[in-house]
Amino acid sequence: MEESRRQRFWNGFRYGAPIMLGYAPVSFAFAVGAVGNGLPWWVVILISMTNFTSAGQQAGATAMMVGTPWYTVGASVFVVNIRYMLMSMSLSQRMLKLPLAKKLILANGVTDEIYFLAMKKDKITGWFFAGLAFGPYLGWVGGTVLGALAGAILPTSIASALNIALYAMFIAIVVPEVKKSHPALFVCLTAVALSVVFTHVPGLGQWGLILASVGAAAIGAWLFPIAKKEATS
Amino acid sequence: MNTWYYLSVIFVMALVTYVPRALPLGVLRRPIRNRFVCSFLEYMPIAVLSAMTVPAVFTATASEWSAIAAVAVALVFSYLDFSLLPVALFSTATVFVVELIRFGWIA
Repeated sequence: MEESRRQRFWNGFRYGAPIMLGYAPVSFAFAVGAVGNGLPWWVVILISMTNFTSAGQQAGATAMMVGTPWYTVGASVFVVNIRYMLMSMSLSQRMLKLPLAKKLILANGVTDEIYFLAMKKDKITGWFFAGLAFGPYLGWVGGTVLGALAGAILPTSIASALNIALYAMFIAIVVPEVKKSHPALFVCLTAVALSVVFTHVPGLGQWGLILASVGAAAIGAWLFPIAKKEATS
Repeated sequence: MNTWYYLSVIFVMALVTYVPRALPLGVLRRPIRNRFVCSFLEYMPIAVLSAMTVPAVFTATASEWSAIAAVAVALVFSYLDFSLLPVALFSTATVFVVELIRFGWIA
């Protein structure tokens, strides 16, 4: 039984609704901080609308506050975003049947949380992924608009507490996975250990995150290769 | 800073955010058969999110104590199979409460 486009879109939307509500406080905090530190409100909103990412746009906005030249901002934001290449690589295996044009549009929706929820599905239709990404996008931009409006009143220190929501979502995503699979737990702990070690290596910066992710996933794949059948489950 | 500066930097930021997302989706259009690569890609979500969370989470709030408390709360509730949103809400509430006490914002 084929679901209609609208059904697939709404199934995706419902699946992604928790992310929508989780993103709003995080982008709210981003906007309060950015406006509070002198960026015009329309700049802050435009950043959220065109970037739709947390770490990268935070880095970019912080650099813009002090007038950093575009090529420096571009380079540092790019390094923060390299992890999306890893994510899109694995996501590509779930989207093999989609036409290129659709994939290039849907690529805008690849964020950490959306990616993870998408990877839990065996196969992703375009409309399902569109629905999955649409809610979080609304939450992200909506939270930014509210934050940009409130930015003039709220102290940035209070808003910073909202940043924890992002990490809480990461934890809520990872824990159920590592609970049911020992290899996943191993990969998680390895990634954490490598990430902590690389943080203390001077000059590594954001590359530490990439190395830790690649390293942990590679060690996991080497020690606990997934049988072909499982690999798509 | 003028409008042109903001617009050009935002454009560059959008570009370096879009390209890493789109490039692999556009290039990898066949199923990967290699068992190691497949396993590597399957483990990638856990690896990236774990590495992103620790140690960064401990410097995400105004004090490391509020972060530690929030991580503990998040771990417990996600272990008990609470979903994304309640876990995020409980952790955020934890940070507020701990920072209220620690920085005396109650007074």
